[in-house]
Amino acid sequence: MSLIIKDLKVITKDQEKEILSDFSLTIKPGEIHAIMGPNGTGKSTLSKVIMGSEDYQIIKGEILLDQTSLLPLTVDERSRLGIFLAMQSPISIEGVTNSEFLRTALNARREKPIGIYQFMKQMEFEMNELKMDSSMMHRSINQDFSGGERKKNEILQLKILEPKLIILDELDSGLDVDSLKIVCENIQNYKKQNKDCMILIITHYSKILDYLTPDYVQIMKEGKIQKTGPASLAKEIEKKGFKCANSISELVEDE
Amino acid sequence: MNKIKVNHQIEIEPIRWRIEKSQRIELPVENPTFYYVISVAKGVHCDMVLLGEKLNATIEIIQEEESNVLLSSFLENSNHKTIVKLKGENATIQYIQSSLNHQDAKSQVTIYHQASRTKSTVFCNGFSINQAKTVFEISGYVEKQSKNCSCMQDSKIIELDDSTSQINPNLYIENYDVEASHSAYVGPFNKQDLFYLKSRGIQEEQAIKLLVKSLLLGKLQIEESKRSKLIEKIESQKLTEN
Repeated sequence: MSLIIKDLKVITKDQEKEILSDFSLTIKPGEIHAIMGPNGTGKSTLSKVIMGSEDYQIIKGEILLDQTSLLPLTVDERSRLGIFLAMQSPISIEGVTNSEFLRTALNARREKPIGIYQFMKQMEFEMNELKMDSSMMHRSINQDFSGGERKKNEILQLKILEPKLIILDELDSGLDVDSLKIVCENIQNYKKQNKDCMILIITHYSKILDYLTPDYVQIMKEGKIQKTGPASLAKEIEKKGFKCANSISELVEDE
Repeated sequence: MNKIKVNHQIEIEPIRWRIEKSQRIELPVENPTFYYVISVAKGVHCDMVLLGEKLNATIEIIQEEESNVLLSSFLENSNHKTIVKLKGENATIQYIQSSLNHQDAKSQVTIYHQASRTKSTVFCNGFSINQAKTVFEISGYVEKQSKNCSCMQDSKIIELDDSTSQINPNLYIENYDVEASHSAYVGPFNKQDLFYLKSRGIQEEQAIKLLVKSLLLGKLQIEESKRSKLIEKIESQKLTEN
């Protein structure tokens, strides 16, 4: 299992603005990568492009998950293949309960639908682990949830759907320190149980990387990776800013 | 008793009710063509439910002071007209309508604020299939002598094809001291909502069914058993062409 992105060139469908240019990235089984970079460099676009958003057009390049090309696949097919995108700003949908939504999502990837009792038991267990109020399972998706609750709800979905590739798009935004710790502990536990699971963390700040230590930190600028380094690169960036990214760390070669 | 023309076609006699105590009532639809005139007494709270298919109906609600009405309706392929007269001070109505149409259908909702501090909130949501044309005409009248009223409208029609559904929101306000608003949307589901559901592995058709349930059942205040039946009804339908 690996994710290989090769020479990806992406433009927006409406503005025809180039967002990713010759972007390449390889994540090997079990690796955690962090992508950092200033606003507007295409970090969130990358996450949506991997997930298959129709807002973007791929001009050239390839995305392979375990040697399967993602490009011809729809969003739901990519998800069922094992990709999970924890979104920066999860939307709310009135009238569809969390439990109905998640059971539908879970059943979409099972041959035999899960029984209600088994599902509820699993939900209750995971919600308890995330310190979420169990009444939230019967509430509409993210309706009247705080920013932190929405992020916890994303991780609840992640744990139920059991992905192979997790993309965390600014998971730390809207989370207080205690909630960030709980959420990251849950992701760590998931990772321990699924050792080959790959994680791509998109963030502006290094705080989240204290809890989820990356194998590599990538600095992204102008739609491509400018620098790759070890976890300590994130701390250097925090001290010195992105402007000096080119001069502060040696490129780490992929083994 | 005078006969009344419904949709310029059939002459029927209105059936009159007076609600004297707070209660929940389900409006009978055995005969799909009807004209109900319902007056709600002072201080009474009444939850009304209207569920029906192929109705050709008119409902007139007359509210006295301090009365409060919550009307939840789920209509399929129905032409109907609701007229609400808020005659007494502090009378309030919350009107929630959901329409599922396979064929052309028109709903007219008219609220008259005839006394001060009256309040109306109208939510009309529709889903059109097979190029059915759904029309909502929502009108709010605040008369000159009616002060400090609130008149709100929020309407949405979702269509997945090139049908020509229409919302006509109207506010006729003759008093300066009024809180009023309207919003109307006709078009497909929000792309971001669909992306979110599909990003969890839910196929397009199932995602649309979830969103239709959200649209049509999200605001309705009806008993669980009735909600379950409506869910079954939506689940059993083919909502997309592909």
